[in-house]
Amino acid sequence: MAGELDSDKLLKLGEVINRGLGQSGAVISEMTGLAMEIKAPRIEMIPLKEIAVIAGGPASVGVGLYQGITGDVDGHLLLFFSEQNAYSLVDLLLELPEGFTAGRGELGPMEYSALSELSNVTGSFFMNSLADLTGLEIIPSTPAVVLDMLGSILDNILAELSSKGDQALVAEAEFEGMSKGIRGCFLLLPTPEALEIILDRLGQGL
Amino acid sequence: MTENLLSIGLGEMQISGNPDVVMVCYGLGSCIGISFYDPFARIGALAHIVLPDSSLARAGEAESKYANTCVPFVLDKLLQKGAKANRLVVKIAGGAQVLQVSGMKNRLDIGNRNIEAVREAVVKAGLTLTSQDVGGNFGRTMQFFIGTGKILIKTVGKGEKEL
Repeated sequence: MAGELDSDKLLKLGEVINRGLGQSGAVISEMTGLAMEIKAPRIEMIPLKEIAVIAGGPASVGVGLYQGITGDVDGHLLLFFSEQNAYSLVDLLLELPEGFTAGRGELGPMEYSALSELSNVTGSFFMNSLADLTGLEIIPSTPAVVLDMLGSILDNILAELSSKGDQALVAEAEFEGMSKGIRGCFLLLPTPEALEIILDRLGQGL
Repeated sequence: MTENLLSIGLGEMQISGNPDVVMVCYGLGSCIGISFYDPFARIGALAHIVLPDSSLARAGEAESKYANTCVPFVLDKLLQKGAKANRLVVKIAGGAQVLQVSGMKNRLDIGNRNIEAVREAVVKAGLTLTSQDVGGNFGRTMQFFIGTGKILIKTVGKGEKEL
């Protein structure tokens, strides 16, 4: 499928995704008071086996902020932060002194709730932007926040996608909070059917 | 140490009789790692199963990706290498549901279906499951030391144990 993607449509899809990422980044900035820069957005077809690798490797431990995509199209949205970066994010979200959450070394209900809210808002902003630009109905699921190995967080998603193909379109970008060095990885994984629907819409010159 | 670390990715499997080899499935979530070991022949195999049933498989896919085809496929390969079926120690790990999202249960609950399918396939192949560490909502890394047959399960925040 990789080579068959129309480059014009892919370019358009890139614009749409960048617009959504901009919205999400702005919202993270607002919630954390930290200027967030979106770096190196990439959109490409990637073999499923390599998806964990581009985000740090299946064994890397961190926090995944997940929202499922439903409605006219199905897919998955995952923001992944390394454990230390997630702790720093929590400090900012809950207005705690720098290093406080890392000192505790764990996430409690309050911390999960703050990250869940962040996931909900960034995911919703991204999906709203995508819906506006494509005219599709796109509904975010409730968010799930987990601290675990990246491979295990991605597993359910990859299993679903792997029943439909060996590779998937991955939109990947890094969020970087310049002053604190917080970095996160953003993965958008539409199902092949969803990708086709979205590209069709974009091809109609919306 | 002259260990050779073999990482077994999604849907892959490896067989080895080299006592220095350590096979690993990193970050198993809904997927299942299944190890087979013949302690006399000192031959082992580790497979990384992704989905329960191959009925929806596409052409050219690896047998080891699906529970129902993986077990007989690996068994056959092991017998060809000199292992004996009645000596095989079979262990499984994984089958968790790491992402718990209300409203998407059917789409994301692949772990439980995998566990059932693997158990069924093991019985169907005439083998016995020796031990297992499955289910729950957390990931597992499964390490398999071919020299000793030892299986180590590592988790995040729940420690490490021998299976």
